[in-house]
Amino acid sequence: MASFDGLYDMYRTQVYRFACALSQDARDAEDLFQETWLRAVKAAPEGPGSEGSETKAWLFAITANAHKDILRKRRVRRLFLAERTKSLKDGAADADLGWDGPGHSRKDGAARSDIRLCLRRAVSRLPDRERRVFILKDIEGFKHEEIGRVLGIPEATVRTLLHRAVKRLRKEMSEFRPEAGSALEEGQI
Amino acid sequence: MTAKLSCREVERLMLGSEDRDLPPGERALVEEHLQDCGRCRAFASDRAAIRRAAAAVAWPALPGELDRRTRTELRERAREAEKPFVPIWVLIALAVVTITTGIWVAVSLADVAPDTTLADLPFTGLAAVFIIIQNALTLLFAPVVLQTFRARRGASRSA
Repeated sequence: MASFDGLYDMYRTQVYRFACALSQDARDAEDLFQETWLRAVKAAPEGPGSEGSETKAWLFAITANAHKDILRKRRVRRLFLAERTKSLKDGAADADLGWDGPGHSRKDGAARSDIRLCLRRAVSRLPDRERRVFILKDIEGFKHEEIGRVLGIPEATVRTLLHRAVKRLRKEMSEFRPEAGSALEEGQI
Repeated sequence: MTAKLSCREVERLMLGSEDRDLPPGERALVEEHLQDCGRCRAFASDRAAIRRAAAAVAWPALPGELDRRTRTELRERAREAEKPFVPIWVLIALAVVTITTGIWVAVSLADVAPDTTLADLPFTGLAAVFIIIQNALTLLFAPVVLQTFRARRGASRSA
């Protein structure tokens, strides 16, 4: 258990950040974080067993799969029980105001104009597959090949999804900041 | 590689160049395209802004309560996983019973010949045959029973 404790200590922050980026909702992120570690401890004997990028990729693959399962279950519930659950794409990032720390509020004009906040909102609106790829690339710093391994998809698909995500983000972010025009300007952050 | 690249090709090459340097030929074609294409220059500029923004996003810190809860749960799970599924005293008792039964069965069936029928067997011989059949069936179905038991235990624990 000591070694798993070490693994947890080393990657808990990164896994939580990934869970937050995927979920864009604090409660879902917490569920996803816990589910990831419970799956990891269960699969630990079959895990990579070494530290480094392989371990991180293994943990992130568990997180991505757990996220897919959560979304799948939610879709089934919606379909069969007509349950009214909140959508990840309906501005959950806006509603979850505590995420950027104290001092930011929905009416905070400075925060709303912040390109980082715009990006988070725009990322939360991306289709699930594009969102996963974008987060792994731009936030977690994985390479295309590693993303393919984490998500179990070909590298060419990773490139296609990233391209689509970037195009969508450009559009979304220009809508968030109409004063900046269609192209984002450098030096805004 | 054609002499002229489309905007889509250039965009994809620019994204690819984030992982590895482009070969000199492709790089020259991209640079040439960028000189003439404002749309792709805007794409490159936007992409750089998005990357910087993504790197600068302030993600929430891991809540202490969630950290404690998860760590406690993980330790419990690990402790349970380390515990033998069957207590040691049960294993010892099973070993004693198995050895005793084996000896008894061997003694009971010592006089059995190839032409002996079930009707010829004494009560102890019949009991020995019954035990052999019972053990064979147990070996056959035990994995299924154990798997079901574990699945139910797991489900009740997560509930």
